[in-house]
Formats: sequence, structure tokens, C-alpha cells
Amino acid sequence: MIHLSSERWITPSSGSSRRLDWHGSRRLRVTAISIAAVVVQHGVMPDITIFGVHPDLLLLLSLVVAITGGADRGATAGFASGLATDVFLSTPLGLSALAYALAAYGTGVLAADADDLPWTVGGLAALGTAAGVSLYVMAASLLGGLDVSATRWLQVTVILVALNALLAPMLAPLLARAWRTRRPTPW
Amino acid sequence: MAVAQRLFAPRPTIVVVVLASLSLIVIDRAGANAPTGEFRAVVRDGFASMSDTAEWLWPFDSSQQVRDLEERNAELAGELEALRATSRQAVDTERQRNDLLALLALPTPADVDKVAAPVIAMDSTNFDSTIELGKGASDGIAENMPVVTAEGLVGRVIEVSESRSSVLLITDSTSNVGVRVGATGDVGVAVGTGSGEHLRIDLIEAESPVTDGDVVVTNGRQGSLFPPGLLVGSVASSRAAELDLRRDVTMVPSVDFQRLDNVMVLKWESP
Repeated sequence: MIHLSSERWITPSSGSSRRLDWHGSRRLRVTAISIAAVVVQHGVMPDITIFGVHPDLLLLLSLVVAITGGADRGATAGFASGLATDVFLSTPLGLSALAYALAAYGTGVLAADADDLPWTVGGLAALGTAAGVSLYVMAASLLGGLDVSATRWLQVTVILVALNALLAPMLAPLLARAWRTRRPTPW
Repeated sequence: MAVAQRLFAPRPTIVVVVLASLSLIVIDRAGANAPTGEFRAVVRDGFASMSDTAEWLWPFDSSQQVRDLEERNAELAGELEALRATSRQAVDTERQRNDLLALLALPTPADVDKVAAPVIAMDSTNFDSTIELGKGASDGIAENMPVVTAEGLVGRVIEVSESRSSVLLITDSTSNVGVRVGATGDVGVAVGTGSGEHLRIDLIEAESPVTDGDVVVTNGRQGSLFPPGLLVGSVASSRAAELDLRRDVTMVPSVDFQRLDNVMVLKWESP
């Protein structure tokens, strides 16, 4: 079972203005985490490779948002993260956005049923990562002229799956805290 | 079953997000004048400003003296690259001497204005081979300008903002460079494989005497984005494929892309 429900961090509050503050603050927190992820991805990650593969914090972030916040939030986060990735790529703008949004959305849908399945946050992130990388490669090959060998595709997928499966359980509590609301959410 | 039903059930958010992504892809594929190019430039400049501010705020290298030394060092490194590049031209001098006789009326790389630029970032993603330069349109850099070091051809500029530019490396899987191989001058196309280690040379005829170690330079033919005679690398393997009219030729680039600190952008425009 995954014990990352935002209910853990629910704090009592009252009044509509207080509620608005919570919602505004929640968005602010998640936005701050997202901007930090973009800066780290493009500022630090170029210098870090694990067996020839750069970690992909933005895909990881989208998936953890989906796991802790639900499919719709995941899709939105995936779109924004993908766009932040696309800006620095030579492939058409929108390819990563599409791939990350779909992967995060699917992960969010699966996460909603996780109580009935023996999956952990790491497992869901691994599944979402494999989907995200594969969707990007397929979309970029079809629409962006990308020509990636099967070996490279496999290499990137395997390493990112392992990495995100390890990192997701560490990032999930942070995101779950950022999502905390007055009312219980599915997560 | 329930998961599958929910996965494929139309929900407004995912529908909007998918449509927005597809619209962006279509708009961006429209070409160089697509409005998305402006969007990319603005975001890149914003990110550059953020990086510069963070660098300025960072206490360990924010002193003016260190910054001045860094700038001076970058200038000297650029000049050194230019001098090395000039001397490396001699590698292909013997063949170029004959070629230049026919190209007297055309500009050569030595005549072209150059801009020295620091490499400020390597690619941060896994399927794209690009680097980010710390100079942009304000320094006269434009799209499709060739980028070189003393070791040879690095790639070409693909995106330019006011203070930054992005370079597509010749190892990228979408990169194609017209080349001439060996003393015989066989013409082919060096295609990136995305591995960062070797390139494939297409269109070399089966009976061509191309052998391992042959020097590969740009051919600079009409319409080429690169001037003639730039060192690209050397042939790593060459074999005639059975029942094929073309040879299987691979080459290793002369540039070590993991150790790029400063590069030269050639203000070259294809004649």
C-alpha cells in the first residue's frame, strides 16, 4: 500500500478566505517545486550521466504529481514539464509535452486503483517512465525526424526506469505535502 | 477493466492537453518563421538571465576580478582556437591546393569572420545531441552558421536568442553533413547516429578505395551549410557490403564533444 495520502498533512482551517489561501498556496508550492526542477534539470543534469544517461527530473516530477495529485493534475504537470523540456530540444515543440502528459495521465489513472494492486510509488513511476520515454521516442521518430537505435532506446529506458523508481518514493512525500488540502483527495 | 475504462474515458483535461500539444507540434513544424521560435528564444533568454543572476549571486566567483579573468581567459581561449584552427587547415592542404585553384572566386573558411563563444551547457536530455553557447544574436550569430574548434567541425547553430544559441552536434541523429573522403575525394553524407561516438557515411560507392584512417572533410558543395575543407574526422571502418552498390563506412569525429569549452562560430553564408 502507498501511504502518501495528502490526508496525512491535512490541517484544520475554517472560512472561505482561508480556503482560497490554501488553494493559492498549494499552487504556489507546486509551481515553486516545478521551477526548481526545471533549473536543476537544465543547469545541473547536463553534467550528470549514469551509464551515459541523463536523469530526467521533469518526467519524474510529472509522474509523482500524477501519483500524489491525480490523473488530471498529472496531465497538466506533464504538459508543462514537457514544454520546459521541448524548449531546449531540436525536435518540434509539443512532442515531450504530449508524451509526458499522456504518461502522467495514465500513471494517475493507475494510481487511483493502487489500493487494489500490489504496486508502490516506485513501481508506478517505473511504469510511467517507460511509457513516457517510449511515447517520446515514437512521437519524435514519427514527427520530428529522430532516428534512435533500439539499443539506445532500451539503455535510456532501463536506466531512467530504475532511477525514477528509486527517486519517486523520495519526491512523493514532498509533493504530497505541497498538495495538502482541507478535504481528502483520492491520494 | 475498470482501469482500462477510465484510461480511455474522455476527460476534459487530457483532451485539452493533447489538443494543445498537437497544435504546438503542427505550428512548430511550419518552419523557421513559426511563432514558437520566438517563444523558445524568450524562454531561453529568461533562463539565461536566471542562470546569470544565480551565478552573480553565488559568492565564490562573484568578485569582479574573477569575472574579468574569466572573460579574458575566454577571449584568449577563443584566439587560441582560431590559431589552432588555422594551423590544422594544413592537414588537408595538399588536396585543397588543387581544389582552391578551382574555387578562387569563392570564400574559404579562413576568410570568414568568426565569433569565439564559450560552451555553457551540454545537452540535458537523452535523445538530443546539442550544446548551448553563451553568445547569441547580439554577437552576430544566426541560424545555420557552422561551429568549429581547432579539432574540426562541431555542428551548426539551430536556435538563436539574444544572448544564447543552441548548436546541433554532427553526432545528432538528425544531422547530415556533405563530406569528401580521403585523397580520392569521394563524396558522401556523414550522418549522425546519436551515439556520440561515430557517424555513418552514406553514398560512398562500393568500388571506392576508401580505407580506415582516411581524412574526412566537408565538401562545401553548392547549397551546403558548411564551407569546404573543414576537418570532420577520419574513417573508422570501410567494407563493401555484398549485393550493395554502396560501401558501409563509419567515421569517428575529430572533436571530443565531452571536452568542449570554447568554440568558434563561422559567420558563413552558403554561396
